[in-house]
Parts: sequence; C-alpha cells; structure tokens
Amino acid sequence: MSWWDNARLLAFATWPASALILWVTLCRLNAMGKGVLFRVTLEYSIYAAIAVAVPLAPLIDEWPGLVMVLVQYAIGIILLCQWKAWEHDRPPVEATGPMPLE
Amino acid sequence: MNSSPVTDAVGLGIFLAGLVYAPAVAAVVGPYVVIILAAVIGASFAVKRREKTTRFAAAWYFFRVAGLAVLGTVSLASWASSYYSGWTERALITPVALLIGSIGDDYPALAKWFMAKFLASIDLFRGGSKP
Repeated sequence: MSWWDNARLLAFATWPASALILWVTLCRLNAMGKGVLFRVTLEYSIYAAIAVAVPLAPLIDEWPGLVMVLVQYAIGIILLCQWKAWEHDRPPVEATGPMPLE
Repeated sequence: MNSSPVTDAVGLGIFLAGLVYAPAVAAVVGPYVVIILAAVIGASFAVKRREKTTRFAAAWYFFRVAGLAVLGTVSLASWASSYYSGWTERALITPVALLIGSIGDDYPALAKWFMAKFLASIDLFRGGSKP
C-alpha cells in the first residue's frame, strides 16, 4: 500500500469516531438547560469542533497519523463512558454548579 | 485519483476517502475550514440555549445554523471590512462565523434588544418625558 493510500485510509478511519463524538456532543448540548455552566458548554463545543476538524484537516494537507486515529476513538469512548451521568438527557449536578462539600 | 481496486473494506475506505479528499474538493473546501470550525462552535452554543427537543431535531438545528453561518460569513465579513478599513476580511471571518452561529434562531430577540437600545438612546438625547 502506498503512502498516499495509507494516509487516505487513516483519514477515512477517523470518520466513525468523529460521527460518534459529534452525535454524543449534540445529544448533551440538547440536554443542557439554562442552569448549565458556561465552561461545560464550552467543553462540549470544543468536542464538536474536534469532531469536525479532524475529518476536514486533510483538506488543508494535515493528514492524520495512527496516533490521531487512536486519540479520536479514545475521545469517543471517554464520552460514551460518561453515559450514566447524562442518563435520561439530564445534565449531571456538577455541570450545573459547584458540587456540595460533604 | 484512486488506483487501488475496490475489493474489500480497506479498498472501499481508500476509495471513499479519495472521493472526499480529492484536490478539487480541497481547493474549494480548504479555505472554509476555519469558518466551518467557528460556525460549529457558535452553533453548539445555540443548541445549548434552545429548549430541549428530540435528538434528531437538535442535530437538524445544529447543521442548519452552522450551514447558515458558513454561507453568510464571507459576505458579512467583506461587507463589514468595506466599512472599517482597519478590519481586514481575513480577521473578521472567525468572529463573524462565531457570532452568526451563536445567534442561531434568536434574531427576533436580538432585533428586539437592538430596538430597545435604540429607543432608549433616542429618549436619552431627547431628554425624556418629565413626570
């Protein structure tokens, strides 16, 4: 396989992970209400930007390597692992204000 | 373009990526990458601000707002830079895309806010009505 084919294959491999990140991000942004902290919204907007930036990067000649593909899947899995906190489309308590000291 | 035969999943991946990452596509979409990213970040804030809906409705709203921001940014940025010579179109592109994206569908509320400020400034210069 030539370098060119390998680069395109790695770029293609980021698509499912990017779609997953974007979908999870959109679901959580939709679930956020008025009380959600700005920094939490900013965090998820950056996730959305990552999900869009990585598949578009080859168009400006920034081809992803294997590490980039793995990081992209890792971000997707990390987001999926937080499903319990966002269950029933409700933001977790720590997203709406400081956690109480107990 | 692609020289490898489409015989398996790897070949299909290379073929699909070859369609998207073609030089002709890169020449058109490449300059818009920064605008797209700024529009996506702005649209994320717009999705957060609106009432909770179904997930597909939220996704549709997100793509609609981000798409509008991508389409309108270059025109608005060039229009604004023609008024203020100190601001180049290149420098205005990112903030304009962020702004259009983050406004989302809240143009009526924004117009109302501007009108309230405008009327308040008229009252200020007129002296206001004495009770």
